[in-house]
Amino acid sequence: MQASNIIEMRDVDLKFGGDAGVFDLNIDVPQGSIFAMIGPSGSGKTTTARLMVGLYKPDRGTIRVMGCEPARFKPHHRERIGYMPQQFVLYPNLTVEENLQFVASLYGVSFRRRKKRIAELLDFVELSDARRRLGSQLSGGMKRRLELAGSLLHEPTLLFADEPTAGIDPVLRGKFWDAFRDLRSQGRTLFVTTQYVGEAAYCDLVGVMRDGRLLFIDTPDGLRRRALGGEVVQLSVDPSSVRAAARILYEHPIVNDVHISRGEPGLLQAYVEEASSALPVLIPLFDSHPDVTLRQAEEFRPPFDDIFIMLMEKIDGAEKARQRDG
Amino acid sequence: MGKGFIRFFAFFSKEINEIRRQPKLVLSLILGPFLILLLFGAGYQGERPLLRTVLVVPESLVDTPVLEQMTTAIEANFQIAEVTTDRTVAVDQLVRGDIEVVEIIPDNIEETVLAGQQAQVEFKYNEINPLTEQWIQYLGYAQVTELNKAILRGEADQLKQEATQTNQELADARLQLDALQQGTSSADAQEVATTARELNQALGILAASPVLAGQLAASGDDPEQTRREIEALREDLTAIEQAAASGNLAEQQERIERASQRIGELEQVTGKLSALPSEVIVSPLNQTYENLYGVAQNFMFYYAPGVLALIVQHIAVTLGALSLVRERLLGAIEFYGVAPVTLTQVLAGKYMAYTLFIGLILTVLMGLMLALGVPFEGDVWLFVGLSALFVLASLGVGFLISAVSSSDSQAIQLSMLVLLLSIFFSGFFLPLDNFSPYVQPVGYIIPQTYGIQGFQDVLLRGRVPDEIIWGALGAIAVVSFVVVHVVWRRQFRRIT
Repeated sequence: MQASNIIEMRDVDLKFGGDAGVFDLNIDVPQGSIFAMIGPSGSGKTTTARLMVGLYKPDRGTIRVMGCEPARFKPHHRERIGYMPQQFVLYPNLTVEENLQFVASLYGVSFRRRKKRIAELLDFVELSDARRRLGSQLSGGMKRRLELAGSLLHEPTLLFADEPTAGIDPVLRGKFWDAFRDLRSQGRTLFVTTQYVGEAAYCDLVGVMRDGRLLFIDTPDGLRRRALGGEVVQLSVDPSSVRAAARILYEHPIVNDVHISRGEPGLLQAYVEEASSALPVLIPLFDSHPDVTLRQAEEFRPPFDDIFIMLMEKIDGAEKARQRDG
Repeated sequence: MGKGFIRFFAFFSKEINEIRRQPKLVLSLILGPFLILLLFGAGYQGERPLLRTVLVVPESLVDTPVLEQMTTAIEANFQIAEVTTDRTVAVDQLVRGDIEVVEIIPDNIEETVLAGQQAQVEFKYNEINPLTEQWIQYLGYAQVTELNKAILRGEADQLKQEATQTNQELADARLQLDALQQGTSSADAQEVATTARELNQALGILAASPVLAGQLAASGDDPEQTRREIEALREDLTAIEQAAASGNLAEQQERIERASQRIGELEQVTGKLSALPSEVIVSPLNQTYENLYGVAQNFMFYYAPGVLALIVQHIAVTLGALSLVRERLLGAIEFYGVAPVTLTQVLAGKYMAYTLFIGLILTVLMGLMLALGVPFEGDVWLFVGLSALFVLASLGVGFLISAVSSSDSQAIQLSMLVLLLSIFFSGFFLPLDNFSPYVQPVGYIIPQTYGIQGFQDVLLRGRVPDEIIWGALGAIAVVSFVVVHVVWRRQFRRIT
């Protein structure tokens, strides 16, 4: 497993003074995956990405990207890396096509190859009609699409995208993630930072950062489990029998906990290890209790925004408990 | 190698595309400087300042031909606004700023001079401009010198008349002495005594004349020797006069013979003196000028290479100064830091693009200047080579500014400072030699200093600029490139 990691960070610190910086980062990014780094603004996501591409040098620890320390990247390493910075860095006085020509030249894409490649990418990011428009005349979303096209021109093996979906509409965000998953299916690796917690669902691995520290790395489902303590089966019964239903569920050994919804009468949630295997067990329980009418039962997947909030609350709670005990 | 060229070309074409997207900028960069040059050429006269002057004269000079001659002489240097006898009114006008100069002619010039003192012509002014003060003092000096010459010319005319008269008296005396010597004179002793006395007096005046001494010195004769001869002759004449009075002339034959010879020699001197023009006596030395270049250029043409160099340098410095700062502010440096492009490729591409662009501007400006009649005496390719080196050196200074600037406004300010330095310390208006040796090195590090000299050499003199010009421009270009490279290398792969 170790050999298939395209990025490895070990005990990395970078301090900017005071509490600013990133601390004790340990990250493995498997080849051919989408790794999303999630966290609030100022949590250290961009710094982590810049450490990986060599724009920052760590104060402590080691970083290896494609088997090489970023500070020692050779041109052939750089040619395999695509980088989409957070800020629009292409030129307002150049057209969309000229900007892409410039980036293609930067990466040494031959004149013959680039024409076809630019046409493909313009189609891909839906900017073909705007190819002669100046950079200064593009909307925010178009600029991000142009940057994405720029970062993919040389067909990189590893793409770093720093908040690629920041400030763009949900439809376009969906298209970006479609594109990222398409790239992953081609065997490329993507390291993406984002403030949109919901985008964690599109990734293979998610790292959660806060105050310069990596809280944990997990799969999206793993995060869900961490937040919820397992999976959730949501059941709907007659409001008058909701307490009886809760008791029935609570007494079953596969159910860890039961919550009755206060906002929606008759709705309750059972926390189990695995929803798919628990459902066939739980539904028949109500057959022997005619006083409880089960209307609906299904696996409940709360949005990642809620998951993230739950995680943060859990961490805050644990932190307070530690301070209290200490 | 192929990819290296492609990357270098990336910046070259990017810069060209960015520039051509700004036609107003291009137009202002070409037309703006040209209009400045045109305005400068059409407007700059390079003449001395017009000095409005009130002439204060003594009452005794009013309505006299002397005053008329004097004002004619003064108007060669000063514009006489008024002639008055009231000194106070004139000074009040000066204090108010209505005029620039008050010139006061002293009273009783002749008496003062005869009393052995110089008469003072006063010039009063109220200036803060040191150049104007220098002009007033220089023109005052020139004018007083001219007035002195006019006075001397009068004196010389009078001396010439006396010399002519003395010459005649010398001739008469020599005839009498010759007759006495030969014993054939019918003149009586009393007549000889009278002639000797009168001649003695005339020689006394002649011997005391400074003009004679000056003339003798200028003509190569020894004035002291002549003066001794006159004194010796006067002693002889005194002895002859006394002998004639006492009736002992026969005993003075030897002295009479010697006096006759000396009179003959003095006749030649006084004859020469009376034949000389007064102008030659007053100003024995005159000057002639020869400009090996032919005729000096007019001010517009003379300054055209300097203005061209100043414009080219300013464009290059500004473009260079803004270029890298803009990349940093735009965030492009972060992008380049990850891309497989080297700093050398970035800089080389920018150097190339800007050199080409400024070359285009220079070509258009040069064309317009040629249309105005500015000469192009030298070789075109020499001009191209010098311009390219000059632009590279100027771009280097611009990139250097870019490397130390944290914002575009700071870059612009530093570019303006370079422009100011260039105007003052490059020899554009003031020769570099006018500055103290401690300050001159400031001029040595400005490309403009060498650009002006080089362009003047090629355009106006049609000759190859000195090696020092090529060497200095090359050194500025190389050193600035290396420094920019060192400073930027630290920022290029790292965000600081």
